[in-house]
Amino acid sequence: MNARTRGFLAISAVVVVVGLGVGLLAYYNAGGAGAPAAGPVELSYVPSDASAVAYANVRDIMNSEFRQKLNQVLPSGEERDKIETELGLDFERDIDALVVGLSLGVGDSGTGKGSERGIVLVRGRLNFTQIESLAAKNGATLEEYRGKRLYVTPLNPDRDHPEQRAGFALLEGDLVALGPVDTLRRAIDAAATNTNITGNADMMRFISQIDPLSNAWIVGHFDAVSQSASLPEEVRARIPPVQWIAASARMNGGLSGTLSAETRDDLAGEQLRDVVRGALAAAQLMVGQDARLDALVKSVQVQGVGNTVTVNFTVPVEVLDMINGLAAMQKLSTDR
Amino acid sequence: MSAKTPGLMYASLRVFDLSLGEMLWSRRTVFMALVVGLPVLLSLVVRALFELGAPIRVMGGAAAGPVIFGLMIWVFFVRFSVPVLAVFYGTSLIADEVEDKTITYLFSRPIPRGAVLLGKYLAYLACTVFVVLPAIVLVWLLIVPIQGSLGPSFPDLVVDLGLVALGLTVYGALFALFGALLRRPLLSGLIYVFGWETFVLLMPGYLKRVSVAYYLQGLVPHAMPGDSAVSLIQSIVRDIPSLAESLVFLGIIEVLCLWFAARAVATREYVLEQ
Repeated sequence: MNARTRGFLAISAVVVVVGLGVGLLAYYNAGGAGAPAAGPVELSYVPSDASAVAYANVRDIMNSEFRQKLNQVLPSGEERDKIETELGLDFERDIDALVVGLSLGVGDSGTGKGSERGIVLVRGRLNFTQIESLAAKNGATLEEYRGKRLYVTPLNPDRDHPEQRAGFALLEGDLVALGPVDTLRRAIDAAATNTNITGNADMMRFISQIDPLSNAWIVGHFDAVSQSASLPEEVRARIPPVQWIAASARMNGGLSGTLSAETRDDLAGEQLRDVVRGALAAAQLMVGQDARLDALVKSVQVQGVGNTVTVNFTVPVEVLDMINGLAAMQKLSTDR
Repeated sequence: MSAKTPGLMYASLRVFDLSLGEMLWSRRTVFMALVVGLPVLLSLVVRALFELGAPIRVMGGAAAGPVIFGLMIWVFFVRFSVPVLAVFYGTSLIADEVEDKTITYLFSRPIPRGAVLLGKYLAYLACTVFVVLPAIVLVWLLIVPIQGSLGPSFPDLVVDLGLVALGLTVYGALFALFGALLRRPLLSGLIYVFGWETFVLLMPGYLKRVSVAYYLQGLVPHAMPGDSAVSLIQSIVRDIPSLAESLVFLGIIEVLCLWFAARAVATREYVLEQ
């Protein structure tokens, strides 16, 4: 082996090693194995048994061209203005991010009812003084729990269980949690004792795979839906064998996103991929000559091996214009 | 007093050392550079277009970088570059020496004849791996950041690199056997790759198990593109083997092909044309 050959091999090896190094660094920063916990910091307040977690970067979404285009479709009006005035809150500017955690418990053996508990975490520039005075004006009582202020709505003995009353908690200088009071306490405990959703390896595996450029995402344990006692038996028997679902979306000029599902086994994964491909083929037949819808359907790509199914899609700008146009026409006809 | 014959591995490594430079700086490598350079060039163009604001569309629809990368790995590398390079290099491991009439010098050395084949096979492997893998890394760095990010697709890159290296290894062994046994190994190899493997993957049943592509596709992390009639039919009859089954059978193919090829070289009489 002469020097020229050795030099070539060395350069090739350097290219591969540098590329792998860059990739490993990016993987680590995106929340790969051994990296710090992925996802927003608000996850520290989501209880570890949450069946689904959702996140929205409200600031990016509000600033996106996509949202501007959908202005005709989004509701606006007196109700929203009223809330904004009372809370001293501008939805478009003052809210940075939303995190929602939802727990779907298995039904109680006595009542047959499932326990569904959710918590909404809102981060932004919130006028706490105005919020607190509004809460006090409506009869909410102030409690303190582990150094956090909890505002709890008045108890209605005919309707409410004491621990199921709604309330909100001021968790940090710019973070508020809303939900039933027992869930609020659990959220505070979760952060204080570090027994939160970041310790749920299965959930974090999916959260860490979310594209960091996404503006909004949701990850859910689909099995929890099928086991929820609030569903009729006939419906539960027909739910597909999907264990996990994750969806993420990126909104800039248009909307692009990814839907991922993990099934119980490879066979179910193969069948689900076939079903999705079949649905796409049917959609392609139905869109006919409409170039915009055709572009939307053709943007859908199905991937996955084994028990994973991933669908990537892009909503072209032309389709958004079409939705806007339809909404405007509808608004005109109702205003007449 | 008789000198001790060098062992198989030592002799193979000596032949590898001798053959690597010859193979790397041959005309065949120019062809290889063109084959793997095309996807790199295409990636550069696509990335440049993206940076200039042009929409990137694949099969009529917009696609993100990771999806495009997956398609390129499948179309350019797994289904084309890897088998074609293996055919062109693997079938000529011994044939080139016979044609150049230099095989006599190799066989006159006190080394097992099989070591000649093994050493040349290792040289082919080093040659192709050190050219193809950097090309894949460059394509990945250029394409994936298009509406995507490098981090989440890093595991796919590692699997793809391993998959391509494994494909070069197994196909190379198979076509080394073709070169050792057949009169027209290059033609036979091309018919095998573009004829036999395409045909058996379309057929339902066990026939597809008599192909390397069947086991390789079980390792691919990206779904096969479904745009053509052939892909559609293949997807209907697709029966993807498990990871363990794929690795085991690829290993068996590799070992058996190399063993039979080395045995053929050791026992065959090469008559050089005057």
